[in-house]
Amino acid sequence: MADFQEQFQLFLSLCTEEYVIKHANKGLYNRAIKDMEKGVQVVYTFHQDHVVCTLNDGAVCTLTNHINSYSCSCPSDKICKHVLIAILYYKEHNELEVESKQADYSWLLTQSLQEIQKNFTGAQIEEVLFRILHEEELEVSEGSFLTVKLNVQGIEVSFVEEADCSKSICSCRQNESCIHRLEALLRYRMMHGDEDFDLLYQAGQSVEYSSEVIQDCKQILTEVITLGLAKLPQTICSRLEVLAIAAHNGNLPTLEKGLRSAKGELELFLKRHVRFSQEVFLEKITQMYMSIVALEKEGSIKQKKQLIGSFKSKYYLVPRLRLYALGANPWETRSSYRGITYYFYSLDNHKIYTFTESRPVYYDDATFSFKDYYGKQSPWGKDITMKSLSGAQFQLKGCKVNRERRLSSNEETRLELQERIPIEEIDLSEYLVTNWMEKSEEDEIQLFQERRDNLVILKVAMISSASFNSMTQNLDLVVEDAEQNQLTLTIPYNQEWESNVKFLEKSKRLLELRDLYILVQKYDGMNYPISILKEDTISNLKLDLLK
Amino acid sequence: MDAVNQLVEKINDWAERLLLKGLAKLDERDIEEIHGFMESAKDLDMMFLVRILEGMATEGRRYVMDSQTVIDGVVQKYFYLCQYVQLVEEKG
Repeated sequence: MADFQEQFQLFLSLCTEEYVIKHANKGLYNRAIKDMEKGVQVVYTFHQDHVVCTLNDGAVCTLTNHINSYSCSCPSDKICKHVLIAILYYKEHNELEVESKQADYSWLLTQSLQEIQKNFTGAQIEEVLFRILHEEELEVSEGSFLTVKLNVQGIEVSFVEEADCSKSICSCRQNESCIHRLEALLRYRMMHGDEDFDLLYQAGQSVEYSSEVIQDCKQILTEVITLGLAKLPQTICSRLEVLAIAAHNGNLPTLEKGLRSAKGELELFLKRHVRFSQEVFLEKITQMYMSIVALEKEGSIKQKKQLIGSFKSKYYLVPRLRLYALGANPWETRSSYRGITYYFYSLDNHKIYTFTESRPVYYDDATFSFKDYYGKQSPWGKDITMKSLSGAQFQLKGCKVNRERRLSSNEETRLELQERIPIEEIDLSEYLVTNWMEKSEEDEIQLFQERRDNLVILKVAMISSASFNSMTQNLDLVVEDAEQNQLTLTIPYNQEWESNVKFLEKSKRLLELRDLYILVQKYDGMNYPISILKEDTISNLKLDLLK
Repeated sequence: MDAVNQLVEKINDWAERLLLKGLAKLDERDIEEIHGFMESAKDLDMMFLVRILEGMATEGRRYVMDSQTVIDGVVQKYFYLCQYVQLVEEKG
C-alpha cells in the first residue's frame, strides 16, 4: 500500500493546472476550484492499488495512479468535477513527499518508427508523409506536456512523458489515432534533423496484387513477340481484353492500362489502319514486359507501388500553399476533352502546381466554352474569377493536392488574396532559363515513369519577331535572351483564338517589350508559350483577348 | 545525325522487323546483324549496350542452333534491348 501511496503522489505531482485542464477542460477545472472554495471536503481511503475518495457532497470516486483510470458515483461517463476535486484537494491539503523531476520527452526522438506506426493506419501514414513535405509553422513548449503547435492549421498536440503516441492529446479532440499526432511527432523530429521516414513509408503502403495475372500477361506478351504481328490471330484482342479485366481485379492498374492500349493498337493493325505504329506498339509491350520482370524480382514496397500504379489519384490535405499565378492555358485533346489548366508557383517549396477544369465534349449536348470557364468563379472563394486568380498571388489553407501537384477544387479550402510581388523579385529556381544555349535541366527519364509536360520560364530580353507561318499554321514568336540567342515559340492556330493570333502578329507593343518573362510548355521539341509576365502583370496569350 | 543515333535507329529497325516476323523465326542472319551492332557499339565505347547485345546474340544463337530451346530467354533479352533503345531515343 505504501508503494501505491508513493505512486499516487508521483502521479499527483504531474497534475499541474495545465495537465488537468488538458485532460478535462477549463470549465470543469474552474467549477472544481469553486466547489473547493465553498468548502467541499474529501476523505481518502487507500487500498492496494487505488484510493477511494469520499466527498462530503455524497459523491464517491476511485483514483489510481493514472489520469485515465478512475471511476465516480456520479452519472458522468467522462472525467467529472468530483475526480478533479479529489485530485486537487489532496494536493492542497497534503505535502507531496515525492519531488517532481524534470520531465523527459526524449522518446519523441528515439522511439522506433515501427512502434509509432502501430497507432495509425496505412492511409493515415501515407497522408501524413505527404503533408510533411509542405511547410508548417511549428511552436514547441515544454511543461507538464511537450506541446507541438501546428500554427497554420491551428492545432495543438500535447505529448505526455510516457512513450506512447496514443496517450497524447490533440486539440481536434478526435479519436486516439487522429493524424495530427503523427504529423506533430514527425515534424518535431524533422525540426531536430531527423528526416529518414523510409520505414514508415513502407508501412503506409500495402502492395497486394495477383501474381497469376502477371504470369498470364508475360505469357501473352511472349506469344505475341514469338508469333510476330504478321501471324497474330484475330482472337488476340479479346484475350487481351479479358486479361485487362483480370488485371483490374488483380489490382494492377498500370498493366490494365497497358493491355487495353496494346489491344487498341493491335485492332488498328488488324484493320490495316494508317494510324497503327509499329514503334508505338513495340514501346507499349516492352514497357509491360519490363514492368512484369521488375515485379517478379524482389524490390522495395515503394518500387512495387510505382510499378503497379494506382486506379485513382489520391489527394492529400496540406496545411497551406502560398501560390503565385504564372498563367492559364486552354487545350483540347484528340479524345475530345476540353479544358483550361492554370499554373501556380509555390513560394514555399518552389514547385509549379496546376489546377485544371476540363469536360468531355464527345456528347452532342456537351460544350465547354473557354471564355465562360475562364470567367467562372474560383472553387475556393466565391468573390474571385479564375481569370483574376490566374494573375494573382494568394494563399490556400487546407487545400488538397495530389502527388503530381494538382490542386483539388475542394470547397473547404480557404483562399486569401495577397499583394502580388513583381515576377522579377521571385526566385524561380530550376524553372528559370536565362540562356537558350544552355540545355535546360529536364527531368531525368526513368523506366516506368509517365512522360510529363516540361515547363520553363524564359527570361526574355525582347521578342524580335512575330509572324504567322501559313505552311505550318503556326504563329512563331522569336525571342532573344540577353546574349541575343534566338528561340522560336509556337502558338498553333485555332479558330477559337484566331483574334489573339492576329493581334499578336500585328502588335507593335509586343515587339517593344523589354526584359519580360514567358511561361513555356516544352514537348516534342517544340516550345509553346502560355503567358507573358512583367512586373506584377500577366497576360495569358490564348485567353486574355478571347472574343 | 550522330553515330549513336544512327546505331540506335538501326537496332530499332532490326527490332521492328522481328516484331513483324516473330522471334520464333529468328535466324542466323539476324544474329549476324547483332554482331555488327556490337562492333559499332564497341567503337562508340557503349559497353553497356555491348553487354545487352551480347546477351541477345548468345540466347539467340542457342535458340537458332536448337529449336527445342525454350524461347523465354530470347524474349527477355529482346525486350531488354528494346527498352535500352527506347530510353536512348527518349533522352535524344
